Amino acid sequence: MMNQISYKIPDDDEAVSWAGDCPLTDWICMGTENGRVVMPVSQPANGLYDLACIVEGLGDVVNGVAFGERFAAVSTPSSISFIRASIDAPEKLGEIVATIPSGAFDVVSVGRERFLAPMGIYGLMLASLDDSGRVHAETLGHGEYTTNFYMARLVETRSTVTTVAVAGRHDGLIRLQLHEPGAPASVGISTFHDIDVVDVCPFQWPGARHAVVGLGINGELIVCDDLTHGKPVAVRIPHIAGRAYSLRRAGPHLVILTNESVHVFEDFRSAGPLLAARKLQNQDIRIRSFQNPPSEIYVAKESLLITERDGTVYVDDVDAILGAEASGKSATCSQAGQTDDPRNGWLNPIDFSEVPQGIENFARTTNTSLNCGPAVVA
Amino acid sequence: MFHPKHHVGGLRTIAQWARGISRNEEFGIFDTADRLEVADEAGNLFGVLRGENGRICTLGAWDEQIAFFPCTPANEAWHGYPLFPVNKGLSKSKPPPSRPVPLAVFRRMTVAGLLKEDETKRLARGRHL
Repeated sequence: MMNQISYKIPDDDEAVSWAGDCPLTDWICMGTENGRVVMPVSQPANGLYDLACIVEGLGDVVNGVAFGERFAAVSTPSSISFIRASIDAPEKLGEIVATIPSGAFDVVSVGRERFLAPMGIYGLMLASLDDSGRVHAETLGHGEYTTNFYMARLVETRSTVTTVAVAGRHDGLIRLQLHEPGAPASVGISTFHDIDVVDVCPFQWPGARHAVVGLGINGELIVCDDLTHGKPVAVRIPHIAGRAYSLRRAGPHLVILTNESVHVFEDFRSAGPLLAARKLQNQDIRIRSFQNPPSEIYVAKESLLITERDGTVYVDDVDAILGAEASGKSATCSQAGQTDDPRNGWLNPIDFSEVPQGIENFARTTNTSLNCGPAVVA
Repeated sequence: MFHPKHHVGGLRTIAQWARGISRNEEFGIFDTADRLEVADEAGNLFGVLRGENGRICTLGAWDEQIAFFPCTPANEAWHGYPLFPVNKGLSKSKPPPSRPVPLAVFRRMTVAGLLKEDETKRLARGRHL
């Protein structure tokens, strides 16, 4: 396990607004509030390191970056830009090939040079780039103002079908299946009574091909061991306190950010299928909570938890955080101390028959196909 | 002004105030924005509402948390509506695209004490609170 690494953008006025995997360096990269994407190109030595700029001048706060093989997509609340991002052509690295004036909440890679950006009530943008960098983009949806597409995560690409999970706020948990270009996308929307689904992440456990976990704004966990055919289970775990922001998988663990804490649900890979089967017991649940949370959390390299605080980005191995806490050493987690909250550690058993916000919340799954709006070529 | 088109229950094609937001609260958001001069260069006003639990409230039917009051000529009544956090998709507007809420407005909200630093960071990215 690695020790904590920290980065600071030299310009005090520039804060990190996104972080994630960087295939160019096989390390991490960061988006900033000033519209740049930067990557560390050397390991820090005595606190010093070099930052290389991948792209700048995007003019808005970067909230998502997704890499294809030769191109990358960068989303902001006002636009989605497509840039060259191939190490085979370093002289063209970061060249902006197209910008579409459509704001998005995030962007994910869903194929070689294919990107999907959730634009809320304005639909989902599906963009493909050809070899020259020409962008063909179309909007998928049921029509404007029908469904709120908030956060999207790639679940699986198999053969010609790409499966994506989308958090749809009050519209629920959305399963999107993209087929060959030109074919209509199909969706299944699982709705819940009074659950505002704010994030989603795929998970893997034995016997589950399309397992997905969703997060409700009041800390509800929505677990589905088969997004394509299964019936989701929603449960509120009272120990996940605060207004929920984000959900990430870090190794076998599930990391949940709320306005009060960073919660690490240890070994969710084992607990998830039990929760999906409504067989979760006391001994299956172990949640560690860290107070003084950052404004956002990110995961890279499968198990590295990235947080930002006061202009500094911290990279921690999630197992190192848990190990430090368990051994009585000072937990790192962006230098947040472990909470003294007695709710930490072993929790009371979850009795599904006594959880008012349990599976009864599930309303229905509606299957349909998405309309395709006018195409834009940029 | 309490504009009826933004208070039509069930209508989703025009920005709608959330059912739980009262007329007094809506007017209060405007008064605060006006008093603290939380405005963009064009004079449009922006506001938020912090609930009794200390959290920033959801103002709109689509989970919007920022209110927008377009600048109105003198002697005409103002009205406002919840502002969706990302720019409209595939619009015909020419680049450079504009943010729904300018960053300068967020900075003003922070300086005025309406938002905390971490709240501003999330909202500026389009994220919820």
